[in-house]
Amino acid sequence: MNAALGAPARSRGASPERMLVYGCAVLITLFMLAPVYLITLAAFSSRSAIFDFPRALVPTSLSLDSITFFVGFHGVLPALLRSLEVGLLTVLLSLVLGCPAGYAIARYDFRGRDLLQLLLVNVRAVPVVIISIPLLVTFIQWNLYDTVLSVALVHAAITLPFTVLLSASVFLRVPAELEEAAMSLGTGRLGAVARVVLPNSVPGLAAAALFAFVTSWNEVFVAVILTQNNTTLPAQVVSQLSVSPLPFRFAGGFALMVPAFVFIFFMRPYLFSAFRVGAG
Amino acid sequence: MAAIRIDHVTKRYGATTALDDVSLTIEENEFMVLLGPSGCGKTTLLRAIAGFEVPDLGTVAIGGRDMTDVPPGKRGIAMVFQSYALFPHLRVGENIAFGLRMHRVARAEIGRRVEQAARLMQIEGLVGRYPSQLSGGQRQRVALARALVMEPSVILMDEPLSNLDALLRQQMRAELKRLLQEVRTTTVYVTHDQVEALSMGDRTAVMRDGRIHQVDTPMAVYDRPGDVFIAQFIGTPPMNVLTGRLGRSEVEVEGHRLPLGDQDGLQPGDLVSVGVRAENIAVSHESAAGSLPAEVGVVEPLGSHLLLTVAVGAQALKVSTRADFAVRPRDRVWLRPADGALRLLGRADPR
Repeated sequence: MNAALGAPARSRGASPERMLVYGCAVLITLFMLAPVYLITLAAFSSRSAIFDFPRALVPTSLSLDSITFFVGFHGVLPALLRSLEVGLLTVLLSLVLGCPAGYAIARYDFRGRDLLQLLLVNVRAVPVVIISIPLLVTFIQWNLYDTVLSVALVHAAITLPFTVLLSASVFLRVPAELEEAAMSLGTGRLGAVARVVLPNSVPGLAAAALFAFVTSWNEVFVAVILTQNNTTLPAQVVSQLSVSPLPFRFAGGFALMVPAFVFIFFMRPYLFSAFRVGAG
Repeated sequence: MAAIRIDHVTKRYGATTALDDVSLTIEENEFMVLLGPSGCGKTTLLRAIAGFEVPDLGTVAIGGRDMTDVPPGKRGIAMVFQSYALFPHLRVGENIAFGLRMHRVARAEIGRRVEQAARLMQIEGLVGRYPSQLSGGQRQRVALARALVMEPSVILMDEPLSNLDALLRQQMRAELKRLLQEVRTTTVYVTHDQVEALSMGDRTAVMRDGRIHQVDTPMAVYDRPGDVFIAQFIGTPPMNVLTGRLGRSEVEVEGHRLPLGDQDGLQPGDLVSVGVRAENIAVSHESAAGSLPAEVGVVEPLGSHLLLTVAVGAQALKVSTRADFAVRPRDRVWLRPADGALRLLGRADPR
């Protein structure tokens, strides 16, 4: 992405290098967008069109039948709202717990810092399957089984290592002198973080939030294990996938994609922010 | 507008000692330059005054008040950083106003003082811009405005000119000196550039290895360096340092006797280092009483004068002479140090 953005600034005109970069960018984009397009197309086609062969690659018979059927289906709407809740709660927990840890790693040279970073990376190596049964037992004991909070807690645990390491690298890019300048002008350490470090970390932290949300939104296994009646949308779709008609599956797939896209759309300005961090 | 008193301050980082029992008093309204090579502890000392470093031992007092454990924002100081440290997310005006906001100054008063500081630094037209839209020199001015607007009792500057290109640095050097004379405030200025130290400060503290080697006016440090390190650190070219044997009222260098005043507590017969500035040596084609024979190595015309590298026996030194002095490499010339220009720099390491 950076290479593609940087290329025009370096060379004007169609140099072979630039063509190659753009060619790759187009290929990768097509690779990512083709399934998205096909699912979207199928979700908005009339039921009969879905079974046509060969499949039309352009919209022929648009219809909202599949979508209305899916949304109207018993339990889908509440599951969608729960998924949103879980996702936002995951983002909140992940940032609130992860950023202070990231800040500590970025700014302080403490005993065991390298070990901590190593362990954080290795947390991802532990399969959720292994800890799912103990987790289930614990959550039942704590009366958290089948709640939004239980799923969000585990999702936060899954995303935390990434949040910690990413926020650490984000904070590292904010020069310590900026913090000291703020403190010399009258803030305390926390004030300097709130008024100088965080505003200059928004793009990076937005990326961390985005990652946490999308991870949570797409996560199925934990949601299936830890919930029964109050399940999330992916868990619901997955559990009904094999027994539902094709239009339902396309509509479900589309519904799973949309919030992630909306979220990315709103986070986009922060990902490619206008002012560059550290350019002071 | 406050004196600074640094009393026996020691600061260690693991095995390295950044400040080794440093004591220094900076008078009210004085411009003190901390000069030294990188890693000498000058920045650590500045940061101890600012409150970013807490000394392991010793105290820092500003305006008669012990500030050793007082946080930076409550010391009445303002700091100008090497990188300027402007807040990238705030416009120039908001950058300058930041400190006043933090001190809950009334809005109208903030507006007035920001405007005044911007006018002083001639950046009135830039207050609406972001730091990334400014040139290096403009950022420097904003950083100064942000410090001056606080009307601090002490201004601390950490190599403020080192990120500017050579020409701009010369202009800013003069402007900064004028500015600080105008605002009349105690200033501590860290630099590794001896030209800045000589041209700007009321006094200069020369540091090395966490210690202060000499504190004096720039001219005194230049003319009477306390030891070989300072002699060779300050001045372009650095002071010539010769090794010789001390006599009763002279020093013998390469078999030639040069008159020397005070003995500085050293004994006749000691091997000593003596220093003499390039401009304090007369060069002649003829021998005279008290002059040394030397062979010319390199001739460098520098416009206003010639710089010669010559050899006296096994020892090399630089001498400057008038631009029209006719000389070529391998010529034999006679050197005569000006009366009283020779400086005893201490015992020499036996070679």
